[in-house]
Amino acid sequence: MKLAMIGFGQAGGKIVDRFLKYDHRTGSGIVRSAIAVNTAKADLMGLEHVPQENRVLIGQARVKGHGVGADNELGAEIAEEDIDEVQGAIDNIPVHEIDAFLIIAGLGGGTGSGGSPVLAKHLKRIYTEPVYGLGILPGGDEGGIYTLNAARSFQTFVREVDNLLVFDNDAWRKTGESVEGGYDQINDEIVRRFGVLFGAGEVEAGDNVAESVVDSSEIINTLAGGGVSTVGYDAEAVEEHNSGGLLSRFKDGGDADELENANTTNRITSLVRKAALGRLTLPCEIEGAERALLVVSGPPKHLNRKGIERGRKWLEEQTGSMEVRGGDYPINEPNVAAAVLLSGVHNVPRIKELQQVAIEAQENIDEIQQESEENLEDLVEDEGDELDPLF
Amino acid sequence: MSWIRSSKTVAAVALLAIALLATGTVTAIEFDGESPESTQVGEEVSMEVEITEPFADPLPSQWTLEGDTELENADWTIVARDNTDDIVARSDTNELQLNADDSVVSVTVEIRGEVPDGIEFDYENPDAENYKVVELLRQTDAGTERVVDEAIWEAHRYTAESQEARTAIDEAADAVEQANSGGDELDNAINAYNNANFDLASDLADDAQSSAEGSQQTTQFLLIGGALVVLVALVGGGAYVYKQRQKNTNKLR
Repeated sequence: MKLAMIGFGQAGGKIVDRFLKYDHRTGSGIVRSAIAVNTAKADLMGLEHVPQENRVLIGQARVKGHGVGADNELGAEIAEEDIDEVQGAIDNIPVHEIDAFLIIAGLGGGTGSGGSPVLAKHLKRIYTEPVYGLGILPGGDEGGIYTLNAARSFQTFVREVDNLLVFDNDAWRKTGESVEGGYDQINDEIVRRFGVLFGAGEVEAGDNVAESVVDSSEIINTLAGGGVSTVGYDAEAVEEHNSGGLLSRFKDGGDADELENANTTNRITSLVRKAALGRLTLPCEIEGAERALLVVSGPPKHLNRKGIERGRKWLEEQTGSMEVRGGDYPINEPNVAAAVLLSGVHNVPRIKELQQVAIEAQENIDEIQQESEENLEDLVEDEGDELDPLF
Repeated sequence: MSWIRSSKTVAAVALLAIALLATGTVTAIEFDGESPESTQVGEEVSMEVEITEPFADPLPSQWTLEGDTELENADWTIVARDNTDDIVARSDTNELQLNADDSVVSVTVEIRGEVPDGIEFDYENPDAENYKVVELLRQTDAGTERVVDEAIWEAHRYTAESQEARTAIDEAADAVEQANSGGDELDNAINAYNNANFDLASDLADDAQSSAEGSQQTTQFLLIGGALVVLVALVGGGAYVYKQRQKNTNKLR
C-alpha cells in the first residue's frame, strides 16, 4: 500500500521522519511522499529524512515560527488560514500513484491536534482517495491541558477522517526512561507496526509472492467502515537456515516435516493471540470490533496456510465479526510476526477515561477563569474604595 | 750408440747449466717506497725510497743514480750503504755514483719539497691531477733513462678550492644516484670543476644535490601519501562494510 504521509505538528513530523527512515532501511516502499507541516520552525529543522521542499511552515504571520503553545484552537485556525500553503506541497504528490493519505499527529499538542482535522476535512473534499488519521494520545501524566486537547481533537479527527488509527503513549511508556529515548522507542514501535501492516501488499520483482496476498484493497476495505482502529503486533525470532546436520539428512524426513509443520502452525496461532490480546496500540476490548485484518509475515518456510487460517478463525471468534481478512507477507529475515488490525472498536476504556479527565480539566479551567476576575479585583482595589486610579 | 748417448748427456748438462744461469739472473734491483698521500698545493711533503740489489743484472757494476722530481725547492739526500750498514757514499744533490767495488747493497733516496701548482683538473680522472714525487734515473752514455719502468712515484694534489668543490660534487653525486634525478646539474658542476671554476662548481653541485633531494623527498611524500590514501581507503571501506553488516534491515523486529 502506497501512502502519502503528512506529519502535522512536532510528533507527526517526527513519526513521518521515522517512517522514511524505516522505508530507506528496509526498502519496504510504503511512503510514496512525505510532508511535514508545523507552526514551529525549530521542529521542522530537527527532521532528518523529510526533504526540505516538503517541510511546510504555516502561521508565520500569527506566531512567527514559534509554535502555538499547545493551543489547538489556534492550531486549527492557523491551519484553516494557511491550508493553501499545505495544499501547495500536496500538489507535488503524484496522487494517482498513492492508495491513501495518512495524516499523522500528536493529539495532545497544539499544531497537530488542531490542524490535522482541518487538513483531513480539506483532503476529503478534494480527493477520492481515502484519508486516514494516525493520532497519538498523550500519556496520562502529561497534564490536564494535553488531555483536554486530545479529547477535543479526537472527537473532531474521528469525524473528519475515513478511519482513525490510534496509538496510546500511556500504554507504551516505561518507567525510568529518558524523555528522548522513550519517545524514540515509542516512535519505532509505531513505525514497525504500521510499516508491516501497510507494507504487506508491496511486492517488488524478485520478492517472494504471498500465497494469499494482502492487497491494499484489503486494508482499505477493513478500514472502510470508519471509526477508530487499533493495531496489535508480535514478533518472534526463528532459525532461518536448516540447522540439521549431516546426520539428519539420513533420518526419516517425513516425521520431521510434520513436526516442523505443527510447530509453524502453533507459532503463528500463538503470535496472533499475543498480538491481539497483548499490546494493542490502543488497548481495548477486541470483542465488538467490526472488522479485522491479519497479516502474518516471515520467511516463506515458516508461514503456512493452516496457521493463518486458525489465527483468522480465532479472531472471528474473539471479535464476533465475520469480516476478518487475512493473508501472508513473505519476507526473508529470521523473524516471524503477526500484525492484527482491528477496525471499528467501541469498547475503549482509555478514551472514556481521557474524556473524563478532559471534562474535569475543562471545568477547572472555566472555574479558574471566572474566579480570576474577581480575585484580581480583590487584589487591586482597596477595601473602602478610597483610592482613585490615575486616569 | 755411445756417441748418441754422450751427446745427449752433453745436451742435458748444457740445459742444466743454462737453467742454473737463468736462476742466477732472477735477482733484480728492488725499490721500496711509498708515495705521500694527497696533499694541498704548497705544503711540504717528504718521501724515502730504498733501493736494494743496485747492481743486479742487467745493471753495470758502476753507474750514476739520478733523481728527478716536480716538487719545488727539493732537498735530496742519497746514501749508499754496504752490508754492514756503513755509509760508503753520500750525496746532497740528486745524483750519486754507485760502485759495486764499494760493496754497496742498499741505497736510500730521501726527498723533501713543496707540492707544486699547475694542476690539470679532471674530476672523473683524479690521476690526471697527480704530480711526480720522484723518478729514479740511470745515466748512461746514450743519455738518461728510468732505472726500471716502475721506478716512478706520483701523488695526488689539490688546492683548497678544488678540494671543496670535489667534496661538494661527491656529495651531490651520491644524492643524484639515490634519487636518479639532477644529473644535468651534476654534469655542469663537473664541467665547471674541470675548467677550474670551483665556486661555480660548488654552487652547481649544491643545486644538483638539492634538486635530487627535493625529487627524492617528493617521491617519498608521494609514496607516503599513496600509502595513506590506501590505508584510509582500507579503513573506510572496512568501516563501511562493518556498518552495513551491523545495520539492521529487518522489518519485523
